[in-house]
Amino acid sequence: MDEKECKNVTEQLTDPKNLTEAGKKHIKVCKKCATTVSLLLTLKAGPTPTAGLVPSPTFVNSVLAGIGIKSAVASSAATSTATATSKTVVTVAVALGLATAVGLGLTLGTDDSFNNILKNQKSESAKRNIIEIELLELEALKNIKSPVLKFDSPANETK
Amino acid sequence: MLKRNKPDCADLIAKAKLGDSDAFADIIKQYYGLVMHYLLGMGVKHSDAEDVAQEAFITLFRKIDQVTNPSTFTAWLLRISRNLFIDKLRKEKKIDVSGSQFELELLSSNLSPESEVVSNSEVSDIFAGLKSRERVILELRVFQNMSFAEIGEVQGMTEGNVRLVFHRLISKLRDRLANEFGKV
Ligand SMILES: [Zn+2]
Repeated sequence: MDEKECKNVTEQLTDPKNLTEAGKKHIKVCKKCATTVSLLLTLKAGPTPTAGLVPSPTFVNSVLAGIGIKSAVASSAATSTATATSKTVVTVAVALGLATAVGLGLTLGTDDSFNNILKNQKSESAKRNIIEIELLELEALKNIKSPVLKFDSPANETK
Repeated sequence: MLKRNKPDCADLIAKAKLGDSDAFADIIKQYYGLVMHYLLGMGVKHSDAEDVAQEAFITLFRKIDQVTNPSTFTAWLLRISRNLFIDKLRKEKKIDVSGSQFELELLSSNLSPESEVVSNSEVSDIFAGLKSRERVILELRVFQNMSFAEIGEVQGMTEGNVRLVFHRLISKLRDRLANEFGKV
C-alpha cells in the first residue's frame, strides 16, 4: 500500500470532517489502515493520553480559592478520572474485530460507522456506536479469535 | 462498566459562567493532565508546572465569560499556560527574550527529566513510555480534533513537524496494539 495514502487516511480518521469515499475504499483493502481504525477505536474508548496525571484536592481547592470559591468539592479530585480510565475487554475486542473484519473485506455494517465513532468526542455516544457495531458485526466476529487484553485498568494510577 | 465520566466541555463552560463551583472543579480535573503534560513537554520542572498550571486555571476562570467558542477553549488554556511560563522565566531571568526570534524550542536547554520520562505513577498502558509532548500532540489531534496547524501553534512547532511526530506516534501505537494482540 502507498504509505502516503495510508497517512492521508489516518489524517482523515482524526479529522472531524468525514472520511472520503476513496478513504473508505482504501481502508477496506488496507490492513494497516484497518489496524489504525482499530487503534483509534481503542484509544477513544479509554482514557486520554494525559489522563494519568490527576490534580490533588489541594490543587483544586487552591485554584477555586484563587477565584473566590471556598469549596470542599475537591475531596474526590481523582474520582472522575479514575472512572474515566476503565477499559473493557469487550470494547477492545470489538474494536479489533471491526478492524479485522474491514481488513478481511467483510461487511462493515452502516456506511458511516467510522465517522460516527471517530468524530464523536462524547464517549458515551462513542460507546453506544461501538456496541451497535458489536451487534452489526456479530457474524463477522464469530470467526475472529478474541484478543486477550493486557492493558491494566489504570484506576490505580491515581494515588 | 463502560461508564466514562467525562462531562461535555461546552456544558461545563456554560455552567462555570453561571458560577457553578462543581463545573470549575470538573474543568480542572478534565484538563489538569493535559496542561501538566504540556508544560512538562516544554521542559518545566514538575513543581514549577503545578504552580504555572494553578495560575493558568485561575487566569482562565477569571476570563471565562470571554469564552465564546468552546472549540477554541483548549488552545486558549494552553496558550495561557505557555505565556505564564514564559513570564515566569522572564521574571527569573532564566531566558533572554530580547531577541526578535523567541522560540519555545529554545527552552529545551532547561529540560527537566520529567519531560523525557513520564510519571512513575502511570502503570503499563497503551501510552506507556510516551513523552509528554507526544501525549499532548496525540490528545489534541485524536481527542480534541485540532488541526495540525493549530497544534503547531500551541506547541511552538511547524505544522510539518507536528504531522511527522503524529504519524510516528500512530505507527508506534499501531505496532503496540498489534503486538498486544499477537496478530493483525
Ligand atoms: Zn492504508
